[in-house]
Amino acid sequence: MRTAKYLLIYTACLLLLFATSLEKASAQAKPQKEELRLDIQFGGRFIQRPDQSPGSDIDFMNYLRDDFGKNSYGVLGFGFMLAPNDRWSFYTGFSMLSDMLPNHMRVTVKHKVDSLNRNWNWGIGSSLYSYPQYLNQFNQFHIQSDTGIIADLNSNYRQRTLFDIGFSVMPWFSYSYKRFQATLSTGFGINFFVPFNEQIAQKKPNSNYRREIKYETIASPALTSHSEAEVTYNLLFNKHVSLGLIAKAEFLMARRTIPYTRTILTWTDDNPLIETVKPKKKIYTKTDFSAGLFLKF
Amino acid sequence: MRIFKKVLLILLFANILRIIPGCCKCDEDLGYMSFNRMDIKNIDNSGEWAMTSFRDTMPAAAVAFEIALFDSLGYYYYSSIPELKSIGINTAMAMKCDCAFPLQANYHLTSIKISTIYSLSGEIEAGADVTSLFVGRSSGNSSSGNSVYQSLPSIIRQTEGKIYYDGGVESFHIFLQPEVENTSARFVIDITLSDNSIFSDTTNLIQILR
Repeated sequence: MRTAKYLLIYTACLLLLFATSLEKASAQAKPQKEELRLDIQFGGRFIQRPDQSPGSDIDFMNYLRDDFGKNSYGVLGFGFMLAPNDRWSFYTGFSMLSDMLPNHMRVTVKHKVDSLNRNWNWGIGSSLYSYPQYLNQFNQFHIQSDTGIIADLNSNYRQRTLFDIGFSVMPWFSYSYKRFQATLSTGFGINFFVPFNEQIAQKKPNSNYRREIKYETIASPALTSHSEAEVTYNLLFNKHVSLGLIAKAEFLMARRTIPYTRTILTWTDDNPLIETVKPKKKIYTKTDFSAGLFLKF
Repeated sequence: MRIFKKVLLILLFANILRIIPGCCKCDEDLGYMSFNRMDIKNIDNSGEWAMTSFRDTMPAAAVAFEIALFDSLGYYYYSSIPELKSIGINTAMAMKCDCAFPLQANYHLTSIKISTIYSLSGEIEAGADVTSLFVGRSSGNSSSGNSVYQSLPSIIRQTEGKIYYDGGVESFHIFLQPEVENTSARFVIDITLSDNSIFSDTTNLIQILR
């Protein structure tokens, strides 16, 4: 309820700002040449989510950490931005973790609404993105809670990739002074984890008893707070091309959970016990920092 | 004209691609066999995986057997029939594939009945029909470890119209659900085929470990 109230106030303020600037912006519009920017960055991603105390049901989000209790990743990213004119810019980027699979994707569209003065601009943008992270050793829940039984017959390291897909709408403010430019965006969006299936096969030692636990997760959209910052500094430039430094930061926060349907089969699949479980929502944050180079022409 | 040449080139490539799988033929005709032998082996299901065992001891809660039905003439007899039939000019092939010869049973399984020779507990006496106390699993699935058992009627149903690429052996494991309270266990297994012929065999005498 509180989230909805803040969202309403936020949207109202945004619309007011947007409405007052429209007329002014149309009067000030002036054509600018097309601009292309390529960037490469390397940085870190840190995901935090407090553990849920283990109860009778697994909470998959307890297993976002690796064996050392960390959930941080090194990320290598590439981006391409096209600004056909002064008012619009389109950015597409992809990045990869240590597996070098370019499976993070981002598409951003930005529209400049107004220039507040010579140095300050503001506008609105929207982003569609997805990024992966790892769920590690979630079978530990069963290994710790199901005693007197071989809790997981799969002896492999149980790791799976969990994809988070999000869409955000963010007003942005930018400040430029000589070689320096900074852009700050903050807004809200909707995110959901891509559903996945997992199964745990169990057997009693010295017995024929077998059990199988199947998990089918359910997409649960969450309202997210999303903020981004970007700083660029032109090192070398002439009339046609410029090379510079780029640094980015991003912060995503939401109260999230991964609900699922659990099917328990005992001996055979004749009498399945099916339950829907919704672990309690807890604050989830994702923080990204990266720095690199850009080439603009 | 240039478009015509391009289309011709694409078609040529498509046909070259078709030649590659055409070099090796794997659509063997179906052979027919008849189950005429039954074999029962002990299963050690005390650990994570079920495996055949030569020991006549089993844990009280892990009594299990492997049942195999097959044609005593054997796979190689049937797989050699097509060669015998095609004496003369054969289809020219650039390569010879290592294809499994598909076999189908003339008569599939229709029922299974398991009776105990010794009493299993106070309620289950010697001579009782204990078929419903067993569950099964196709032998080919035993190493996957990711599934529970099947009911015996379900295993029986799967044999209807089944094509065997693995030598024409119908093999499955049966697992007793309740714990055996007696010190010994032995079972009579009767399998009926769709021509109403019945195979009957007895398991080894099993000493129960506690």
